[in-house]
Amino acid sequence: MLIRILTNSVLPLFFLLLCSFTNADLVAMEDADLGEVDGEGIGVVLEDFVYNAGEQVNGGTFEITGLSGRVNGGGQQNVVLGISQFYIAGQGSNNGSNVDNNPVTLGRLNYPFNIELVDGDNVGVPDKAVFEFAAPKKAIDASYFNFAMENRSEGSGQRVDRISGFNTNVLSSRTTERADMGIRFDLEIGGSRFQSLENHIESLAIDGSYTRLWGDSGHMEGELAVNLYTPSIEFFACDAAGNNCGATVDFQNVAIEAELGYGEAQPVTFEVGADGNFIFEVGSLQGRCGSLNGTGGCSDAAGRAFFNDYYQNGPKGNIYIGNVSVGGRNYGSSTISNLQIQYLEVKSHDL
Amino acid sequence: MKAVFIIMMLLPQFVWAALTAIDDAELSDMTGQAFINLDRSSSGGFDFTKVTLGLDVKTSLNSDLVELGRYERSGEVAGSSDIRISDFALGHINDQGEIVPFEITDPFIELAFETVNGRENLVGVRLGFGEAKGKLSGNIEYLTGNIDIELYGTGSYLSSQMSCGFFDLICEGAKALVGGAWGNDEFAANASLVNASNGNPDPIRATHVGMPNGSNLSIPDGGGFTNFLLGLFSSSNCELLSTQTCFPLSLYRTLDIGNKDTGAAAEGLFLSFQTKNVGWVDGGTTTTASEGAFMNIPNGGIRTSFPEAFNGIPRARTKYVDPYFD
Repeated sequence: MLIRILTNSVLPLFFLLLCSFTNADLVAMEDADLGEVDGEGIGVVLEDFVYNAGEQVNGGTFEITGLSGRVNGGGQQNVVLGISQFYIAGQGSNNGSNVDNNPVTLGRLNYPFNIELVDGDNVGVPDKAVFEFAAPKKAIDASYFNFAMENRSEGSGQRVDRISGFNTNVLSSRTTERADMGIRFDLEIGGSRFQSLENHIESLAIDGSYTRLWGDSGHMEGELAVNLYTPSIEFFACDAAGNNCGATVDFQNVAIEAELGYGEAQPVTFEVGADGNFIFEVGSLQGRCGSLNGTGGCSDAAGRAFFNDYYQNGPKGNIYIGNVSVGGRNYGSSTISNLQIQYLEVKSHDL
Repeated sequence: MKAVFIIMMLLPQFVWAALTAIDDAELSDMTGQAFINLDRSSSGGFDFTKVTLGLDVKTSLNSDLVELGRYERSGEVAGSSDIRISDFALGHINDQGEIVPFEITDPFIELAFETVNGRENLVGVRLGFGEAKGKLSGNIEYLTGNIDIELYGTGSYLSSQMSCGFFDLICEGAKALVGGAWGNDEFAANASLVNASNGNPDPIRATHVGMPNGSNLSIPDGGGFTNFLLGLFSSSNCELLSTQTCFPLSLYRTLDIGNKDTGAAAEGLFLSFQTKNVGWVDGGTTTTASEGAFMNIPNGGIRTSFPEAFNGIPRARTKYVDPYFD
């Protein structure tokens, strides 16, 4: 009897108290303590992955509504943007026609997608733990671009004269891990369907891309790196029924390496206000000089050291298109090089 | 007892989880913001699809190089580009060390289609801005497009730039008039992309800007007779009354987009790429863009004084440690 009472009453109470004490012992970790945490992370590999959605395939419809628009300057009408195909598949998808039995492996055990808590001390966010979601690492931990430099005749130092190309090994290695992607939009304004717009990206690699997030001052901050390498990005239009497609605009040998944010020195934030509009910001570098010269430049050693480091090693963007081809005509290469954003604020508003 | 035990075990977890659900009534008050507009129109044999984003953008940025359309083009310098600007920058840093951003309102992307044999061929794409204001800096090496610059300044300054030849009595007379009777009047002229070797308009891979052949000086506040007299003299071969009227684009290191006197933003600024001449429509204005990459800065977008036209515009500071200043 005594054992039964113990089992039915005392033990549960004991565990209950234990449980409560356990919770009572939880204390928040200081940022500095958390900053020491450096997990090994979780590697993610998606083998034999295929994604194919849209009414073309299974009768399903994915529509973006709530938009508005006009036809030939008339009154505002409701716009429906139907997505009749969106796919991720292996190479050779042939603009979305060979998808279902054509899988791709996203990442591999040696080079997986990685979810990790990293020590902020190592990524410019001292005394904080930083959440990182990263694509497979690059084969070479450096920019893939081939830069030709020139001296500034009007100022000091050097600048990029041109990008003559990029390391195209990225387009020939890991072939089973680079995905074909595509999307087809059907545009409908005021109940009338006008056209279909298609975009297809071939054999895409995003090696070295990452998102890092951390908390500060009651909100989330972060930094981004977006790397895209592809031999072809195609755009073309078809009639309202998705047939009779026109000439293709083909951006060939495209490489983008873009970084936004520089740790705690220049965080990226995204917030949605009470009115539903969003604010995207890349932090301003104003106020980092200890003293200024007569034209507004930094005159103190610490300030100059910060900016010399920022302009040399800070976040940069490089965009290179090897050739734009339209209907067999070639319009050559286009380049935006060493783009650095010292400040960016983007606020949405109703139209 | 077991049930109580399990509930009590779970209770502390719920206490730690502070998230609460939003009920249907509250959720129904939430609305998405309509910051995207899609328009469809037809003009000049083309169909257009335009996506406008309701955004206010403020930025300060620098880039070593912006180069669009590097391919060989008949009649142009080998290795040149449709657009090439080195040390490109938007926005600037003022004397107080404050970032003065470049401001953009309602950017849009527009596609142009031409229907041939029942097929819609994509023939053009442009990135445009509803309004734009601020300083655009860079060394403009090649420019394809449409840049109309409004020049202004007093007659006394203009006469100081006139270099009349020996016994050129017409020129001497005009110089005396411009620097004397009209010395305090504000003159105006319009400049655009020209060929420096002959003064003809040259919107393809231009290296110079100036008064194209046949264009005149005027005094906006002057009388009809005054402007009639001025109309007798027109720019020819990059010269007007012995005054140089064409200048290298590289002289102008920083351009004020928008009216720097009134603070009004410029409308119609865009960057486009097309495979044939396409007439892009903004309100009631059609701007015909030539094949290849093209940049349009509309009338009134840039206003520059005669001294700036003759001497160039120095570059504004765009970095806190700036290779052009430090």
